[in-house]
Amino acid sequence: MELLKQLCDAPGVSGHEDAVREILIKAVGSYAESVHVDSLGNLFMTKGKGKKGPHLMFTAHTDEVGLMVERIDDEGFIKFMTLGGIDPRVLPAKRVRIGKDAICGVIGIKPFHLSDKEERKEVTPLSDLRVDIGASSRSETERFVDVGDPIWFDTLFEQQGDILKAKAFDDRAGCYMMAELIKHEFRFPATFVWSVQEEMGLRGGRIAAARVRPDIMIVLEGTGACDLPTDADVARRPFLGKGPVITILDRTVVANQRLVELLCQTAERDGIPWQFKRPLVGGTDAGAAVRVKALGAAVVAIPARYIHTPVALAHLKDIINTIELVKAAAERLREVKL
Amino acid sequence: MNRELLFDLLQIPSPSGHEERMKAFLVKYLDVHGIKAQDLGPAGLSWGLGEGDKLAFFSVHIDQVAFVADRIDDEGYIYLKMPGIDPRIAPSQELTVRGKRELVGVVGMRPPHFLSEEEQKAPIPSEKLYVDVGLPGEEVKRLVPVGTVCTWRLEPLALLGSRVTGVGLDNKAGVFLALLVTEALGSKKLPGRIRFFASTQEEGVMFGAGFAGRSAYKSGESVLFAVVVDTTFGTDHEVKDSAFPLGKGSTLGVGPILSKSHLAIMRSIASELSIPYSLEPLTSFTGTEADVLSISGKGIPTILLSIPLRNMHSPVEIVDLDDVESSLKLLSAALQREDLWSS
Amino acid sequence: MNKEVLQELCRVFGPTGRESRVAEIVKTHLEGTNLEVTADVLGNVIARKGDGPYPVFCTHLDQPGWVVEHRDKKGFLHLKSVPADEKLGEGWAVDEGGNRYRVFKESDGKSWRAESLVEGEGEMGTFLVPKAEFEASKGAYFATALADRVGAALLLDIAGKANKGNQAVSLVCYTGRHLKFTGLTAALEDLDIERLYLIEALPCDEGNEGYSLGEGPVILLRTQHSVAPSLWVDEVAKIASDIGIKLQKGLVSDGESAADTLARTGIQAITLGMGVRYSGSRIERVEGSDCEALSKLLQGLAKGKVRS
Repeated sequence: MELLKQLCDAPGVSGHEDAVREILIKAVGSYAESVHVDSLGNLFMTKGKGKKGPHLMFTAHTDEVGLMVERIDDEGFIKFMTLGGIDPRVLPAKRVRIGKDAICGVIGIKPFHLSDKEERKEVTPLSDLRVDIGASSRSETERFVDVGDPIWFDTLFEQQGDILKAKAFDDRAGCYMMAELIKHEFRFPATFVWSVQEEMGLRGGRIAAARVRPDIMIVLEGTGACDLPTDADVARRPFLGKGPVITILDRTVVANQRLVELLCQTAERDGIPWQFKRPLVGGTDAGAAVRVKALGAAVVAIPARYIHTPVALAHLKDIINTIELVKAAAERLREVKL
Repeated sequence: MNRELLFDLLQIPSPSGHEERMKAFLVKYLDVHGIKAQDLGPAGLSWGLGEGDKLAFFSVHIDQVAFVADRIDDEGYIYLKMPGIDPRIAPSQELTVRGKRELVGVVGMRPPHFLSEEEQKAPIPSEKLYVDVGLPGEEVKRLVPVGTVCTWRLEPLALLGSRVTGVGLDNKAGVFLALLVTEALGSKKLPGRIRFFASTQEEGVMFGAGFAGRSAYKSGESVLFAVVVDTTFGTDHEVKDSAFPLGKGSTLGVGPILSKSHLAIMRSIASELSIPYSLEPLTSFTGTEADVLSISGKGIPTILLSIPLRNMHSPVEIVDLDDVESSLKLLSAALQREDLWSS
Repeated sequence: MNKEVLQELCRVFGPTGRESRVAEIVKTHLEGTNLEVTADVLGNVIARKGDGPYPVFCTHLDQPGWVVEHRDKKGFLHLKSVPADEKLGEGWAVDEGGNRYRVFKESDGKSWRAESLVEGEGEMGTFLVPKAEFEASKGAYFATALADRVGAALLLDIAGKANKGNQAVSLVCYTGRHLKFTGLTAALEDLDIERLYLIEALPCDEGNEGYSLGEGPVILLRTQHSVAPSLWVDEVAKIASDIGIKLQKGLVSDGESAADTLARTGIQAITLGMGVRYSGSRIERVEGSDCEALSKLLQGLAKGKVRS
C-alpha cells in the first residue's frame, strides 16, 4: 500500500505528471527490460521482447484533474481555470497546493453571515473563486506563483480497513495496478504505458499507441462508482467492493467482444467478483488508440466513489481482484480469436 | 518593417478551403527570395531552411473565415452560412461574392420603417441574412453556385502609431511573421532544419496541420519540436479576461498540452533580450494548430506564440505591428539557439 | 444496384459495436470478385485490387440502436440509444438472437425503456435494433437502416463491376460510425489513397437542403467543419457530366461528419451520396433512380483517370 499512497499523494495535474513518473520508475523500473520516456512524458516499460505475440499493451494514465493559475489579482489572489472535468460546486473551502514549491493555499468562500439566503441558492461560478495563499499583494504572490502553474487538491491517502481514501484514484489506482502487473511474467511481449494528459482529451494514449502499435490494449482505470443514495429505481452500478468493472462500450470505443467475454469467463472460473460498467459513460485512452491502429481493446477498472473531486473512496479488495483478474485473463489470451 | 508585404497579404482573399491565391502569392514571394516552396495540394505549402538531422516544424495557417452561399432564392437573394462568424456583424457589410464572376454585394436588411418595435430589438437571425447583388434571380443562380464564398471588401488601413486593421489579420499577421522569420534566418547557420508550413483549413478542422503531422509520422521522420504562430484575443474596452494587451508583445502559451521545457527556454531568451511577452494560460484546447500537432504521430513538443488581435473573426481586426516586430526578434533568436534544439 | 442485396443488408442485425453479421454479408458477396478481402480486429472490412495509389470508396456497416443498461424492479429494461439523439421511435426491437422487445419512451420523453417478450431476456449489455422493415414501391425503397446500408449495397455494386476491369481500387466498410466514427481512421491507415470517396445517405427532410430526392447523386462542397477541395469536386463533376449524370451540390452542417473526422487527422475526402427522407427514423426512404445514378457515377470514378 505504500506505493499506492505515494502515487495518490503525488501531484500530477495534466501536463505536470513528472512526480508520478519518477515514483514509478524508482518503484518498478528494475522489473523492466527497457524504460523510455517520450517527449510528452509518457512512460514506457517493456518486458518479454522476442516472445511470440500478440503484443500486449497495458495503459494507465498518470494525470489527475486539477486547476491551473490563470492570473494573479492586484490583491494577490489567484484566479484559476479547471484542468479536466471538475464540478465547480466541490471547490469552495478546499485546501490546495500550487506550483513547483507546493505552496499551500485555500479556495475561499464568503462567510455564511455575510451571504444572504438568495445567494446561497446559487452555485458560485468558477470565475468568482480565488485561491488565497496568504499574500497581501500581487508582487508577493508573484514571488511564489506563476501563470500556468498547476494547482492540486491537498488530500492525503488514508486507509481504514479495506476502505481507502485519497484524491486521484482516477487513475493512480490504475498506475498502481500496472506497477504490480509488471512484476508478473506474461507469456507475451508486453509494453506498460503510464500515459499523460488523458483528462485533456485522451492525448497521451494516442501517441503511445502510435509508438507501440500493439495488437491488444488493456486499459486499467479508476472509474466512478454509482452506488450512491437515490430513491429512484435506476442503474446504480458499478458498486464499491463488488469487483473489477468491465467496459462493454463507452463514449469513445467498443471494447473487443472476445476480450470482454474472456475477462467475464475468467472471473467466473476463478471466483472473482466482477461487474459491467454502465454503457456509454466516460472514455479512456483506448478510444484514442483504436483511431490510430486497429487493435483489440479492453478496459478494466476499479470502482471509486467521488472521482474528479478532492477526495474519493476506493476498496482494497477491488484493487487486488482487478490485478488477479487481469493476470489470469492474460494467461488465456491465445485461447481467443479476436 | 516591410508593411507593404503585410498589406499585400491582406488583399489576397484566402477563405478556408479556397487558399489557392494565397498559396500562389507565397510561392512567388519565396521564389524571389531564393526559396523553393513545395505544394502540398489542398493541405497548403511547405518550405525549408537549414540542414542537418534535427527537424523542427513551424506552422502558420493561411486561411481566414468567410461567408458561404447556401441557397439562392428565385429573386436572386443569396442566403448565407457563416462558420465561426457572429451573425450580428453581418448586416450592411459589403461583400465580394466569388462566384463564376466576382460580384459586389451588400448584406441587406429591412429598414426600420418596415419593422415592428419588437423586430428592431432583436439581432437578425443568421437564416434571415442575405446578400443582394442587385441582379435578376436567374442570372444570380447562373453566376453564384451553392458553396460560393463571400469575403469582406475592405482594404487594409494603417491606424494610429503601429496599429493596422484589415480583413483576415487572423492569421495573416502570423503569415507575415513567418515570412519575416524566414528572411531573417535565411542567411544564418541553424542547429537543424526548419520546415515551414503554410497550412489550410485551420478554421474548422485544422486540416493542414493534421496533414503536416501525419506526413511526418508516415515517412518515419521524428520532429524535435513545433512552433505554431497564430493570433489571440486582444484586450479592449470590453474584453478583459482571457485577453492580452496590444503593443506589449505576443503571448507564449502555457498549459498542459504545450511543452514546458521549450517554453522555459523561450522565456529565458525573451528576458535575456528584454523582449516583452505575456503568458497565455490555456487548458486542453488552445483552438490553434498546437492541439493537432502536439499529438500527431509519436507526439511533438509544441510552442505556441500568438499575436494579440482585437475583434477576431470580424472585418475590423486590429493588430499592433510592434508585437510582430518583437515576436520576430524572439523567434529568430530562439531558432538559432542550440538549447532550443537540444531540450 | 441489386435490390435483393440491399434487402439482405437492411434486414440484418448490426448496431454500433455488433456489426459482424453485416460484415459477413459484405464479405460473402465480395468472395465472388477478384478483390483481396481482409477484416481487422475492429470489424472493418477492407477490399483491395491492384497497386496504389487507388481510389478508395468508403462507407459504414453499423446502424443506430440501443444497449440495455438496467433492469428495474418492475422488470422494465432501461436503454441507452446509440447515437444519443436518434429518432428511432417507439415500437418493436430485436436482439441478436431475434428475441423481441416492445420499446417505448418514458413519460419524461427522453429515457428509453423496453419490455422483453421473453422472460429473462435483455441482460445488461444486450444490444437492440429496431425490427427490420423493407418495401420497394413507387421506384423507391422504404426500409429500416436504409441510410446506413445503402452505402454497402453500392460498394458491392462497384465490386461486381470492378471484377471486369483491371483498374486498381479499394473498398472500405468501417464500424462505429454512430460512435464517433470509431473504426474509420484505422480502417484507412494502410491504404495508398489516391482519392477518397465517402458514401453517405444525406438527410433530405426539411426541403431547404439545396438538394432533393430523385434529382440525382449529391456531392458535398462543405460539411460542418471542412471544405471539399474544389479541384476534386470539379473532377467528379466532369466525370458525372461525361457519363450524363446530373450531380447535385450540397452543403451540410448538422454535426460532425466522417469527412470532418478525417480532415482532423490530415486526410481529405469527398462525400458523395443521395438524399434520404425520414432520416434517422425507423423507416427511411431513398429513390431507386438516385441509387442507380450514384452507382454509375461511382463506377465511373472507380475507372480512375481522374487525376488532373
